[in-house]
Amino acid sequence: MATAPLRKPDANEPLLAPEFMLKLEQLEILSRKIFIGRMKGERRSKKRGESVEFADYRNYVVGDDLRFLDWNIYARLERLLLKLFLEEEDLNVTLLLDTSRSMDWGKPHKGLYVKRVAAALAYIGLINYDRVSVYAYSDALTHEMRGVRGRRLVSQLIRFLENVPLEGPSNFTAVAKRFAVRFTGKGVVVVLSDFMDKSGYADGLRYLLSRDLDLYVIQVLSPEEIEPGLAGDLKLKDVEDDDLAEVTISKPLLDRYKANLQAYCAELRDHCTRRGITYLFTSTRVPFDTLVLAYLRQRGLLR
Amino acid sequence: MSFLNPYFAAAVAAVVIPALLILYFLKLRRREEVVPSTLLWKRAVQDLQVNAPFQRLRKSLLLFLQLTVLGLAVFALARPIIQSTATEADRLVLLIDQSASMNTREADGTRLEQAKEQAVRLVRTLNRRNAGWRSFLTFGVAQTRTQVMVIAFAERARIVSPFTTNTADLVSLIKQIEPTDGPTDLREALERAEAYLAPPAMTTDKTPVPAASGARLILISDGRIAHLDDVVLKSGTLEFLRIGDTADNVGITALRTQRSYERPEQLSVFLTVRNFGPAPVATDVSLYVDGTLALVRSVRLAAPAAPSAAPARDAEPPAEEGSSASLSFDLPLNKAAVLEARLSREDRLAVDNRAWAVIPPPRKLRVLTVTEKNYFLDSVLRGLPLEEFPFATPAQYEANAAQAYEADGASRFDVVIFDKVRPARLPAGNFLFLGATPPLPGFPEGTADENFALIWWEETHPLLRHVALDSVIVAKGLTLPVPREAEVLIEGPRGPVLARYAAAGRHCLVLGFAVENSNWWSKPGFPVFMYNAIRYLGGGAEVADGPLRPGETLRFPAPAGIESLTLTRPDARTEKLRVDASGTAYYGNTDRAGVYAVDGGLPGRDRFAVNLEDDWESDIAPPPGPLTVDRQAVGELDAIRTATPEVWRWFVGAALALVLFEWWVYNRRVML
Repeated sequence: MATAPLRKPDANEPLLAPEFMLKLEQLEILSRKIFIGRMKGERRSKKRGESVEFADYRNYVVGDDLRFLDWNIYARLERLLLKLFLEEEDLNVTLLLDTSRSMDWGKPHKGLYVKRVAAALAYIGLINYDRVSVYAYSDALTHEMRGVRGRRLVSQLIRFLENVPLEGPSNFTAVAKRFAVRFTGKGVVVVLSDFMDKSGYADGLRYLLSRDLDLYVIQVLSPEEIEPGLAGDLKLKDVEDDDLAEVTISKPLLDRYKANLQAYCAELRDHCTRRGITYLFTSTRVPFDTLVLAYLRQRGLLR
Repeated sequence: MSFLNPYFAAAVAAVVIPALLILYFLKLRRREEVVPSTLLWKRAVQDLQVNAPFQRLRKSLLLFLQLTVLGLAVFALARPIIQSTATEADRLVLLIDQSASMNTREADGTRLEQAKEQAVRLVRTLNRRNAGWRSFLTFGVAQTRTQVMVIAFAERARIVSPFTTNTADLVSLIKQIEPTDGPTDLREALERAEAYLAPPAMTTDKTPVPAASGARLILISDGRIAHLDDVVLKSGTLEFLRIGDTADNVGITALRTQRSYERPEQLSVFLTVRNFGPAPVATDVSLYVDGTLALVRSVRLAAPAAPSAAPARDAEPPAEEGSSASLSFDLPLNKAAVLEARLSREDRLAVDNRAWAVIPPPRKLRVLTVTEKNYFLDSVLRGLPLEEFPFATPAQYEANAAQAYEADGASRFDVVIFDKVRPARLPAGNFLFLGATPPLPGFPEGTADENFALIWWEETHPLLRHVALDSVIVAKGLTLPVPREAEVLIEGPRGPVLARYAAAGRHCLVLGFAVENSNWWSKPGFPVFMYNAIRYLGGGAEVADGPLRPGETLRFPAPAGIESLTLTRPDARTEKLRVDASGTAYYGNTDRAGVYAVDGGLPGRDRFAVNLEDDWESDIAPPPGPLTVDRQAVGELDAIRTATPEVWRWFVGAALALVLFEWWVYNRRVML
């Protein structure tokens, strides 16, 4: 039988346990894309506060700032070469959280799981002086906390995460479109969702890709969705849009459901992989610290 | 198969099956279950509907099963019955074999019980459609009803029930059929059936004479029926319902007793035991005298060489070497007794394991000689072991023949010798005529002849055993104008000289010359002949009745003045017998083997033993192959297996099995 959705599962438990936070101290969020791709800037000098890192030379052209001429070179070679320094830029870490009602489900609870992962990523970002933005969305961007930076805001962010309600239907396409319009920066974007969206995920991901972001997609499903414990003649009601599906649970139907789920996930993974999006599937049964400490590091999101 | 309750069942079906269908087509009240997303479920359902055409079937499999269960239940409600194929004819004759072989114990009950059961089952399948209160449902449409007649037959046929449609009566009458130990004779049964089947000889011009109706005769028997080739089937068709399949039987096929002539207190018992079964057997043969064990002997019998398939009874199946044994016993018995022979081995047919013989008391012969004076006879009789041998002159004899020498129309003496006397009247008895002819019709006086020798004599006849007649010269004698049926034992030059003639209870030995008119008296052959003749005639009286078979009539002479006798049958039932005007009581219902005795009868004539002694009936192995009657093979009916013709149980059982299957299917359906 299906488990009743847990409204507030272990609500008293903090999203991040202190000892877990200690482990997170070691980690930092990587942006693979910026490293390998643009070479436009790096964020290694964040403690110094200014960019002094040498990157390259180029020939001087009229109008360049004379302050960046390398006089030593000129002394040796009598050529005017301009020193190019790496642009100093802090990393934008953006977490897109699916907080639609379908996330309010499962045992272990999907919404809580997502919040915990988000909290862990945000914490890592904050302690590394990344610019962390958290957007909660359902059919629109409902709650947001933008541009948070610095360790002192950790508790505030966690409180924000705790207080985000899980409600409303999900419409990832609309949200992604809206987000792409509003979000101007670059950086790492992590989408946490179950991707059980009737409007599909392809359009939404395309909107996000158009912004040239380092995209991570983490699909979170509850065990009940992976192995449904349903039986009998049922009228299945969608928790988000009250859509009804009359099914008579039979073994073939269950087999078919599982095959469909697998195909759906595989399709999402292929879709992501083909577009340079890092995809990670997880069941809420996987302890979230394992996910954060092991899987996300394997995937290269964390170091 | 047909139905007793078709209308009721149809009504039920008309209500129930649409109800089930309506229930099925009504929207299933589904339990509501909230899921995070119906996305994949809808897809799965769509996929299944697209990809699995059997899903619909699967869905309707339960409906189908439930419909089938309902259908079976409705079928059961319709009370289906198995009708035998014998029901089409509107007249049916059941011929039930109740002969001795039908007493064979089969696996369940005797063959007769099985036959009765089959008959009851047959009858019960008939006339069910219209019976009782249900008839109003047929709106009074008259249906032809099968009339059934039941005939039980052994040697004689008895009409158990004339044509009737009353099943209850038929069943109770069939159940009352009792076993007999008689032989099987189908002829009379068929004759009786045909007498009923034939259209009435006298019809008014208004009554249409029914065409020779297609009545069916069903013979329920084990097939051990004698004289089948003699049976003629005049009308109707005969079918055969075979009963029984065992063959294991050892039987006493003959029991004869004889008292020794010289020592009457010594009894010789001759016994034939035969094995009819398929395997060699060993059994003890015990002789009981008045219920007390007297002698036991073991006998081993081989199996018959070939399966007993003698086609006709007339060719008495020869006892194969070793499969039968003749035993003889000698035991002293100086009183009247009932001798019983028993086989200790249990076999399928019990009736031939016992045989009885009523032994008269030891008795020396009484010989009356009617002669003027005959020294030779006197001296010869003196030398024989006789009880008494009074002499009477012809005058004395004629004077009070009826009073002094006769009783019940029979001679009081075992043998009466008429020496040169032709008496005026001759009672029943045994007579030796010397030089005279018996006063019997068809036996005229002989023609006188002189001085002749004897030409031919039957040396092997018991009468002439050890009698030399070579040098006998007859001075004066008669040539006998013997009747055709007489047995000629000595011939002279012009015709028979010694003849044996039996007619109407009179057993006569006629010699054509007196002893003193020949030189025979001086020969040693004469006393030997006298010895043989008296023994032959006198012994004959004792065994005159011979062995009695079941079905034969017993004749009990009663003492004067007694009006009725009480008969005790072998099965311990008693019956009153009325004595008729001639002082004799008759009893014909000797259907069981055993000793029949009356109280207050004449001593020596008040007990009779009836034995099976029938090779044909003892051979219980059913004949192989089809039965041929009137040189035509008879079709065989299958036995009806169920006790009641109604078979609703099968349908209910099938419905139950289907319910279980449905449960399984349902469980599979929801299985995870």
